Amino acid sequence: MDPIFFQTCINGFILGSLYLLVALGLTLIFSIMGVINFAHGEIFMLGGFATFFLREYYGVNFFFSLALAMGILAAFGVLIERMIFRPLRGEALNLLVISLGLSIVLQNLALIFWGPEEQSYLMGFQGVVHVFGMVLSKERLVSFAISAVLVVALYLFIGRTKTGKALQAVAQDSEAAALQGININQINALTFGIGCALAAAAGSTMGPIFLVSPFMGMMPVVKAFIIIMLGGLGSVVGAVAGGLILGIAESFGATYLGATFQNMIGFILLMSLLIFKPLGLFGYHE
Amino acid sequence: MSKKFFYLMGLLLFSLCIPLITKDPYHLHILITTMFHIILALGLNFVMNTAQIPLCQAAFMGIGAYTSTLLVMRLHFSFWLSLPMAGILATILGIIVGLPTLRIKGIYFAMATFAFGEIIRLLFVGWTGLFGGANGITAIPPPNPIPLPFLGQIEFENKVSYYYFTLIVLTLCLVVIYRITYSRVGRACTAIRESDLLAQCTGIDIMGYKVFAFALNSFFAGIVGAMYAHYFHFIGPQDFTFWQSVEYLVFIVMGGSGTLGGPIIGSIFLTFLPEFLRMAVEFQVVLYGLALILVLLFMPQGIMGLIVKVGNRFSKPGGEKTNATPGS
Repeated sequence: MDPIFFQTCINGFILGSLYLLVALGLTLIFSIMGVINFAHGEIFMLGGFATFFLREYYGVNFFFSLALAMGILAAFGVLIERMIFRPLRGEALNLLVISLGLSIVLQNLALIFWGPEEQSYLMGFQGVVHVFGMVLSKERLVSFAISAVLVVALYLFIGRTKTGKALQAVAQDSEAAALQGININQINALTFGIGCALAAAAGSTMGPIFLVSPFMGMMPVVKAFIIIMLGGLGSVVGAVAGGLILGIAESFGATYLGATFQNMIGFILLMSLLIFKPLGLFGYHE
Repeated sequence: MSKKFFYLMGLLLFSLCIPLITKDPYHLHILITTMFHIILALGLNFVMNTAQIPLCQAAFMGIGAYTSTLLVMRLHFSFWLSLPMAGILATILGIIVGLPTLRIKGIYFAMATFAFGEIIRLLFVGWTGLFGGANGITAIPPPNPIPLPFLGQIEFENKVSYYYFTLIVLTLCLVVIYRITYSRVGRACTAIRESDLLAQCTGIDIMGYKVFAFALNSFFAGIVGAMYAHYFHFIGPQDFTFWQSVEYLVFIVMGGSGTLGGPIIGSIFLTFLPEFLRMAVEFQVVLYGLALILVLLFMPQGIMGLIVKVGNRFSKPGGEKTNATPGS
């Protein structure tokens, strides 16, 4: 095996882990709202900008600004759930369009206030590490670690805590969950908060690698669509698998087949998977 | 029914007179784009009647646009031949894509068609030799002039004749959709929307109807795509993205889904709105997005829902029932 093969593998792994954070927030929000949230990419963008301003204007430590950005956007997530998503709960098409409206508003407000330029900031970890003949940048390793920690924390939260189990119950059947005495409004707000915090974390960690601009959310959110569909909607394990599959497939596509094919490979994977296994790899029948 | 027919004829007559009132190219341009949007929204609405939401409207439009453009520019076809060819090719592709994907339901179907749409768009970007890549194709000629005996010929260089041409196509599409909606096929589609399992049990071939609706929509989109290409004289992959496909869905939801009038009103409202918002300059798009949110928060049934509600308040009780039919 040549080192390029391993390098491609590991690049794909790291890329997939970054897409995954966006996808997990999206799939969580889907599981309670029943609709894909088009504004998720803009939450991701706001997370990137929050960290950008904290780092560049106030010189805050990267990890601290990451936590702060997650907190701010979690609060924002709770707010938008209360203001615009809750009144229309259960009406799928309306929710879809309203999330699109929100996405348009946020993206264009960012464009007006912060301009269309692509900006970047540093995490504060420069240089590369050599492992077994592979070259890995420290920034990417740190972002991979952040992603891994958040995914494990989310997995434990959903599976092990009482609130997490309540969240699962609401996702499966909100009426039955309400009959068990679960406060649905609270759980929905919490889920939105967590989903938005994850998107903000992804925006903060991807900011230095890609660039921060009002349009930065459009690409990752499309990747996140593919990931959560590959894995099966509402499944955390599925999203992890989907993220890694897409990351590795794209990385190999880019290395061996060229850039146009890199973008196409995800869609081809998605379409063929849906035709042969319509609920995704880990999806369950409702 | 006769009253409705009367209104429709009045509307048609009014549309015919518009170029007599204003010959301003800007006004006619907005009206022509509105009519493109209405046709696309009507086709999509017809598919949504069978409980499926495709997100690849722009892809079929792109297929029609590129087919017609390449036939005219490379093979020197007449536009009047390439227009139906564009529709037919889009229909064939619609059937090929629809047969495997229409078995999937709900959001999974929407996402499968989203993937298809993006594959098509990336094909337009990647296949530079045939489709011109990201730069697209420029200098697409207008439709060939139609010679008339004794009167010279109809040129399509000006907006007035293109306006009438689009109006004729729109009227034809409306008649087709109207006739189908009130036929056995339309009633079968409504049954599928209400409950596909029940529909299947009563002997309705649900796959057949779903493929039919999807193919009809593809045909409409292909035709509009060809008209779009020869109207704007320029096409590129950025005209046929996923976000354009979603836009037609927005038109339908804003107008009120499940009705015939909804997509029409939604398309008109949302094509005119950005033009009115032009005075807000940089806040134009923000206000557009805000309008989407506010309309749906305060009128969950869309604009058509509001009209029906207001209409019911002024008419006798019992009028509500007739408004629940798909064609209201």
